[in-house]
Amino acid sequence: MSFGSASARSRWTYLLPQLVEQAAESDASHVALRHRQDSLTYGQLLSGSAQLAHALIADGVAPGERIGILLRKGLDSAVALYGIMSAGAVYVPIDPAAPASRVAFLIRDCGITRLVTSDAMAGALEALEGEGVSLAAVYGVSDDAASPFPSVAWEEMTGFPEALPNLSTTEQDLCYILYTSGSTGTPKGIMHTHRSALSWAEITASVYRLGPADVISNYAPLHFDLSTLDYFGGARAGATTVIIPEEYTRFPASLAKLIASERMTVFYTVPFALVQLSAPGILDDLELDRLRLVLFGGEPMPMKHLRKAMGKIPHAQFVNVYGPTETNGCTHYPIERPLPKSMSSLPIGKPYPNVEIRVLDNEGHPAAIGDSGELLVRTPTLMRGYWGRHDLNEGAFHKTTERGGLPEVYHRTGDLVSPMEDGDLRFLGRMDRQIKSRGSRVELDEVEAVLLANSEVHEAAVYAVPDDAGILAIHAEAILTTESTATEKDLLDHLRSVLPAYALPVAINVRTSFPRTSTGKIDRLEMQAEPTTPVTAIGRR
Amino acid sequence: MEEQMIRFIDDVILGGSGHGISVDDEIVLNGTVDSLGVTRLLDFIEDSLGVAVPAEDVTIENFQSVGSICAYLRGRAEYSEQGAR
Repeated sequence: MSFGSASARSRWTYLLPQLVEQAAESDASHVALRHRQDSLTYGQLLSGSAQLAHALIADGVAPGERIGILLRKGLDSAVALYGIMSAGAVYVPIDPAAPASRVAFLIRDCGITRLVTSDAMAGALEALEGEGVSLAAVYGVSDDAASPFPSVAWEEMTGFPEALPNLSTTEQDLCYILYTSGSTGTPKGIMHTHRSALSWAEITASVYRLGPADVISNYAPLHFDLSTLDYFGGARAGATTVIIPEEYTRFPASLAKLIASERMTVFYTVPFALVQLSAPGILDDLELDRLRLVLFGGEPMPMKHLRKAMGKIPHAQFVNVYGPTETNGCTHYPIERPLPKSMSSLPIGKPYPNVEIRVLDNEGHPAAIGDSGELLVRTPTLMRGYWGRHDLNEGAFHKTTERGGLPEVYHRTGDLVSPMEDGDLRFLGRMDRQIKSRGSRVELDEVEAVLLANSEVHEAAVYAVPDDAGILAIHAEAILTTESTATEKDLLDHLRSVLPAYALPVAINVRTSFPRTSTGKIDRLEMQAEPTTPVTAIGRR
Repeated sequence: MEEQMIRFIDDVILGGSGHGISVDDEIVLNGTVDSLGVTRLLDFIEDSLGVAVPAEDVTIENFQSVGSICAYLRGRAEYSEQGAR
C-alpha cells in the first residue's frame, strides 16, 4: 500500500531530528553549524547523526535510554545530540569541567551506561573510573589507550546508513535531560520531550522570524538551556548556528570581533556577557550592521549596561527573554527605543503565543495589577518533570479542572512577579533561595548543604550580594567545630571537589558567630546587607 | 614578572591545587582560568604590577599564556614610556 511520496513524512515534524532531515531536504549544502575553521552542512549533520544512531541501535541501545555527552563545545556535540535522539534515546549533556564526583553522581542518578565523548576527555574518563563508574561503551574515542572503557571511534561508524532509522518514537517521548542545581545538595534532572523542545523551536523560529539566511550564535554550552534555541530554533529555520569556542566567552573583546567576523544576525546570551561587551572600546569600530536581534535571559539585566549596549548596536532589536529551564521559555519583552529614562528595571513582558500564564497570590487568587504573586505557566514547551524525583514533581505542577472539569497542568515557576497595567509582567525575585549568577542557576541551599557536609563545619551561611554592576556573587561564611583547625582555603577546596566552578563562592570567611534573628535563626539578610568581604565589580571591565 | 604571575594563578585562582603551570601553558584554552579567573588576573595586574589593561586589549591572543600576557605587558610599558617622553 502506498500513500504517495515517501518524503511527505519528513514535512510533518514531530521529532527533533526531523528538523535536520527537513533542512537537509531543502538544501543539503547549507551550513548548519560552524566552529572555528570547521563547519557541517545540513547534509553532513544528517548523515553523521544517522550513522551514530544506527551504531547505537546495533549496540543494543533501547528506546528511552539515557546517553551522556561529555564533550567541550564543538561540531561533534551537535552530531552527538542528534545521533542520540535519532536512536530513540535521550541525551544528557555533562559539563566537562565539573568535578568527577558530580559527574559520577549524574551518571548514576540518570542510569547512564554510554557516553559520546572524545580523546581529549581521557583524563575525565580516567577520573570517572576512579569514582567507581563503569560504562558499557564510549563513542567518539579513537585511541583505545585514552579510555578505560570499551570505545568506538567515529571512523568505525561510517559504514552505517546515512538516513534516519525508522523508529516508533513519539513526540511525547523524552529527548534530553538537563541537570541543574538542587536545593537539598544534589543536582536534579529536568526532562524534556520532543514536543516540548520542538514547541520552543517553533515559537522562537516564528516569533523572531528566523530563516536560512540567519547566523545564530551559540554562546552557552549544551548543559545550559540557552543552547536549545541555538540548536533547535536554528535547525527549525534552516539557519546557520555558530558555536562560540569557550575561550571567547571569557574575552569580551575577542567575542565582539567574532560576532562581526562571523556576520552573526542573532546573538543570544546572558546579561553578564552584555555587561562585559558594553565596556568602553569593546564594540567600537566593528562592522555589526548584520546583527538584527540581541536576545538575552537567565538573570535580570542591569539597566545602566543595557543602555550602553543598545547605544553601541543602534539598529538591533533587543529582547529580554524569560523562562526557567523547566519551560524553555515563556514570556519575552521586546525593548522599544528609546528606552524610557524612568524605567528602573526591565519587565519580562508578555507570554509567547500558545502560552498561558497566571499570577496567583498566597491564597491562590489571581494577583491584581501592581500586586505580587507566583507565576504559573501552561505551555507546550513545559518539561515532563524531574528525573526520578516524584517528591519534587508533586510541587512543580499545579492542576486545575476549571474548564468543564478537564484537567489542565500549569508549572509553578517559584518566581515572584507583578502584573503591570499594560499586561507586561515585572520580575520581583524568587520564592526560594535560588539565584542566577553570571547566567548560571545556583541553589544557595545546595552550596550551604555541601559546606555543612564537611565534618569541620559546625554552621554555614551562604548568600548572594550584587556587585556594583548588579551581577550577583556568592558569599559563604562558616563557623567551625571547636577542635577544627581548617582554613578558608580548606573549605574552598572541599567545595571545589563537589560543586561546579560557577557555584563556588567568590569569598569564604571563617567566623566565630553569626548575626541571629530574634528566634535564633541565622540572619542571612543581615549578612547580605553587610558582607564581610567587600564586593568587587565583576562586570566593570 | 612571569614567576610572580604563576604564583598568583597557582595560589589565588587555582586555590593552591598546585599542579604547577608553565609559562607556555595555554591557561585559557585548557580551562585552567575561567571568566572569574580572568577578572582576578586583571585585578592582580593592576594592583600588584601597576598596569591598567584597557578592555579592548583583553583578548585571547594577549592572554593565551603567562608568557604572552607578560610579553603584552612589557610592550605596553615601553609604549607608555615612549608616550611619556
